[in-house]
Formats: sequence, C-alpha cells, structure tokens
Amino acid sequence: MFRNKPKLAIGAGLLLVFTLFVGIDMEPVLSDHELTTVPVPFIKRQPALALVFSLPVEPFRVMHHDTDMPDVKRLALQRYCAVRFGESEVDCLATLEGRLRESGFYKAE
Amino acid sequence: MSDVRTDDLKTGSFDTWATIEAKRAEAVKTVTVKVDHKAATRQAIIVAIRKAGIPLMTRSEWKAKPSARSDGPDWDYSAIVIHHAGNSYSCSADGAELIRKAEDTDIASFGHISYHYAIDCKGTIYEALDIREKGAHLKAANTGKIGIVFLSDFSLPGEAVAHGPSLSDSFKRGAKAGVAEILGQAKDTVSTSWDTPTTPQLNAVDVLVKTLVEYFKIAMLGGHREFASANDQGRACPGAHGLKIARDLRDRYGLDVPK
Ligand SMILES: [Zn+2]
Repeated sequence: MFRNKPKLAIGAGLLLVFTLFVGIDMEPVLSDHELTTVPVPFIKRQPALALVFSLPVEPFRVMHHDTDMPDVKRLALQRYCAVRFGESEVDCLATLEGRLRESGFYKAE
Repeated sequence: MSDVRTDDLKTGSFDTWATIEAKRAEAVKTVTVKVDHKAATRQAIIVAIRKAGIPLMTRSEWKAKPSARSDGPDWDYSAIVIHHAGNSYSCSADGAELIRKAEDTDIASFGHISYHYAIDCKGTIYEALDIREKGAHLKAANTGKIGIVFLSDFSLPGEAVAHGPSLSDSFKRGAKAGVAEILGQAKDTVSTSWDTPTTPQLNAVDVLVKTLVEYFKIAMLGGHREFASANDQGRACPGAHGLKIARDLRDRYGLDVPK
C-alpha cells in the first residue's frame, strides 16, 4: 500500500509544478456578431495556482485603452497581464489589442 | 395631432404652430425658439412607424442598458446595412430576450449596442442605438450607415464556409482566429435549423426603410456581406434570406448596391 507513495508524491509534485507554470486562457473571439471563446495554452510569466484564465475586462476596454475602468477591474487586468504576458498595463493593453484584432474585434472607424 | 401617450413624446405633442398678430406700424415682439432637429427627427421616425401600424419599442421602453462609451455622433446617413443577429439566434426565442442578448454582446465588444434598429420575428421594431449615435455594425466603416438587425438566424447551412472569412485568411490573422473559424464553420455546416423571414418581419422592415428613406438621403442599401465584399472581407451575415430582403428593398426603393 505504501510502495506507491513516492510515485504519488512525485506525480503530485509534477502536477503542482505544471499548474504553477502552465495555464489555459479562454480568449474571446468575435465572429459574425457573436462572442465565443477559444482555449489557448500558455506558459505563465509568473507562477500562479489558477489553471484557467480569461480576460478580466470587457474587450471594448482593451480596444479603446480605457483609462477610466473601475479599480477592481484595473487590478484584475494588471494581475492577468503579469501572469499572462509579464507586461505592465500599458504594454499589455497594446498586446491584447493586437490579439483581439486577430480575433475579429474592431473599432467603429 | 400626435398622441403623447403612444408616441413617446416626453413633453407636449410633436405638431406645433404659431400665429403672429400685429397692428399696423407696431413692432412685433419675436421669441427665438431653438429646436433640436435631430431629436425631433428621431421622434418623427418613431411616430411614423407607429402610425403605419408597426409596434416599436423605444430604448426607454425596452429598458436598454446605458452605453459604457460612444463612438461619437453620426447623422448624414447615406446607406442602410441589413444584418442577421447570428447562428445562435432563433425565432423560437422571445424577441425581448434576443435584443438583450445582442445588447450584452455589443456592450462587451464595443461599449454600446452596435445597430440602430432591431426587428424580432413577430415584427416588433426595437430602437437599439439612438439614431444620433454612430453604429459599430461594420468593421471600421460605420460613418453614414444605419444598421438594421433581424433577431434571427437567416443563414443556411454551409454559408459560413462559402462566404465567411477563408480559413487561410483566418490563420493568417492567428492560430486562434483559425481555430475559431473552424469551430464556427463546423457548427454552421451541421446546423439543422435556421429562420425564414416572417410576414410581420418583412412588413416591419419595409415600413422602417420607407420611413428612413423619407428622412435621410439614403442612396445605398445592402446586406452586411455586400458591404464587406466591397471592402474585400468575407462575411456570412445576413444569410441568404437577409440578402434577398436587401435585394427586394433596393428594388422597391430604387437604391444602389454597395460599392
Ligand atoms: Zn452583420
């Protein structure tokens, strides 16, 4: 019964390391007027326990680099940016805008 | 005279008149009256549609959520764009529920609802975005274009493959866009249900376009796909049924094809 203990410990350790450094981002896609998400695996730029991530603010705030977003959303975006891209808010907004454009989001003009 | 109880007029009636009486050689006192002609035109469109017997819900009546941002004002409209709301919409759902769904998608994506008017399967017209505001229903080309969306799925199975963005174009934009397009095309190809335009919907869009043509110098009308093709983009919207509606409206009101 106890013979498998070391194997289990190694397995649990590997799983923990994997979870700390690998995540899945449910990235938004705008297609034919409808919003969907696509899972995108990524290497975390900072260790974090969460496995599944998603953009914590509405896409329009990224597309228009909203500087007036509520503090709660801003903090969530900063945390997401640090883990997802290892970037500050300003750089991250530019990165995210590019990704959203690739995914069908646009500006009115 | 208009009826304030049914015409959504906030104060007084829409019709107005004035008379000036003066004695010979006596100065006439005048009073300057400022009229917001854009607000009045918005109201006149609502009144005209209701007078034609089409049910219309203003933004305040269907309790539209306030916009989180605006793309700015717009007014000198020269084109009308016909859309369908997408594959996940269906006439089996309630119109009030569907306009809310479109509103949620658009507020997340653009900060405001993207179309000016929406028509449900029972023929009720919803005032979506205030006509004085610029829409966001086309990619980077909304100035001067009124957006009308049917809260329906008017595309037939396979239209996304035939007319949506090609897979190679999608993958050029990125792996994620390619994967999303594959998923969308697969869903569209195996789709077994779609909507056929209802008579009340056709009556509603006819009255709406007829009214808009009276108030704006509309020269062009087309489906989203026709406007997108003119800009080298692929698009399934508004589906085969939506395109036929656009063709019929063009013929009826002598409007041009998008170019
Ligand atoms: Zn469309």
